[in-house]
Amino acid sequence: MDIAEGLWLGLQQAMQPMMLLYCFVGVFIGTLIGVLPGIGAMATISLLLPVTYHIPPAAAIIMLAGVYYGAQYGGSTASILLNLPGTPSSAVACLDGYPMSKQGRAGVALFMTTIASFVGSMLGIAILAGFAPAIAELGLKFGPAEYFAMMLLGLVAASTLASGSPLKGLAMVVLGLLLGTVGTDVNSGHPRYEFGIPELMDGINIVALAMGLFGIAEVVGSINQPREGQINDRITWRSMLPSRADWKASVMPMLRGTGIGSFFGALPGTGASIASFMAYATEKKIARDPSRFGKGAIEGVTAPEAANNAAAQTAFVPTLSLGIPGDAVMALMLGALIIHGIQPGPLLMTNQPDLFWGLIVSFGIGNVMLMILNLPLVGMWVAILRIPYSVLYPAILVFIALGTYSVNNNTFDIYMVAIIGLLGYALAVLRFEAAPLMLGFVLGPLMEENLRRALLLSRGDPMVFVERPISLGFFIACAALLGWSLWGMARAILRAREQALDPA
Amino acid sequence: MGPLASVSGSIVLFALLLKTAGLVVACSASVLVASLADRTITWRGRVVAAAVIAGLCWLIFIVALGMVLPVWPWSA
Repeated sequence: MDIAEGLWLGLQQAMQPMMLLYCFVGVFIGTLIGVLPGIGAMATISLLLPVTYHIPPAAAIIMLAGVYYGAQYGGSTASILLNLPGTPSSAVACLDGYPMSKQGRAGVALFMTTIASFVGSMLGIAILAGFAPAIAELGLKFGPAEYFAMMLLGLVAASTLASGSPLKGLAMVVLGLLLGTVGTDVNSGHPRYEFGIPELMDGINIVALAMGLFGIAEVVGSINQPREGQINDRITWRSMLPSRADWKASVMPMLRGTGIGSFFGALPGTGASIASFMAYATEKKIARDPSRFGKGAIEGVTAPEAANNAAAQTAFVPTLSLGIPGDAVMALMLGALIIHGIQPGPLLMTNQPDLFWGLIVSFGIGNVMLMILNLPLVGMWVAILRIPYSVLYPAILVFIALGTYSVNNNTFDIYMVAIIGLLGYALAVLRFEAAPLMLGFVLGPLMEENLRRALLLSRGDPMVFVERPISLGFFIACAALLGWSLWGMARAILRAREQALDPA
Repeated sequence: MGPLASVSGSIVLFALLLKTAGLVVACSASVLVASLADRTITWRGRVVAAAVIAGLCWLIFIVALGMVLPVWPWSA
């Protein structure tokens, strides 16, 4: 099936009224939580997961995906108006967006970020549609050994390339793998790490884990934070239209941002946040006058926004075509797909082309809806930002508790949220990234299955991983990444020692 | 320490009260405990927030999503 056929099939799927409705619901909720600081795509997708059990799988994924990329649109609104990022990837937009609003150019900033997000998304979708089938073809040649090696690379990449110390990242991945083993072993039926608690027989509830790790820590960190500035000026249509100079200055940053975003989005282990930071850094480096950045340079908002949206779309490339999640939210999405009985991977495109292409076309439709939601209706989002956080966060906590309960209808899961929340808070305070943990937790069971299958097929011979060329390639890449981060750490230690010995 | 204690406390309290005292009591108690961490809200504000959030939860989870949960202490 070539791309044109696929898109036509997808269009027929995505234009069905139910799909359109859920797409709209998804992008609406996505923008809403993107705008609100303190609650993000991760928390919302976990909360909506139980809701999706009652709707058909395609609609469910369309909605959850809508939340994911919709959040990338709304995140910059709070950054620009309140100097508080709505989503982690829009933190960069604070740097130049907030000064712009201080200069009375908030409307222009909001307008341009929406356009940038749209451009980034649509180009990202084009890349997704173009490359995913090709990568899936490649993936068909994968056996269990290759899958294991690739997932291993994904985990190593996630821990070494993400922010923070690679060692801490690896530790989190291992912790995630360990937590993933809790439950009943699929092959033998033996209970593992259950401590006699029957509720743990199915493993740790993924929603409880996600909520505890990300939601609780974020809420705790955001209480009592001062919300800088009140939103005084009204945003009128006229104040939003940018000048010709603005347009001219933004075209290339948008395109560059899209390129950077698409690359980082498709790479396992990196996602929208890193993409937006890299785009900002790139713009600053190649600008003719770097001192403008931080004071309201429009490139500083359009490039990162294009980048994070492109990354959000291309993150689906490895997830859908290979079954390897690119970041923690994709891992959750993968979990959601599996729960609905959809096996992501190279066979998805051949077995369920209507689902795959329907999803891609719905991304395009969703982005158009988002343009409409974010441009004329921006006043609505601004009004919502006026709700005081003191009222918002208790509501968020109660929703977290109820949402987790609704997965299995048992209160044990709510206790798990509290316990994992304490763990998540401790990790945040100690500067451990929770995202690699999530990746390890979701990929762990899959890796184990593939490992066992590979060894079964090779009659227990571990050399199978280096004998097969693709698998060997992945292992070499892993070794290279680990070697590179070790070298980086060694250099840092040596440099610190030099400076300590020679304070001059 | 304060915010952490009240946030985790409110979740644990919710779990304790949900099946025994019903949704409304659990929601309200949770909100009250959670809002203890916030220094800027008044007691009246807390009570109003508790009532509003309990009402919202009832609307969203019981009416719209059809979850089977006791709503009041006597319906448990």
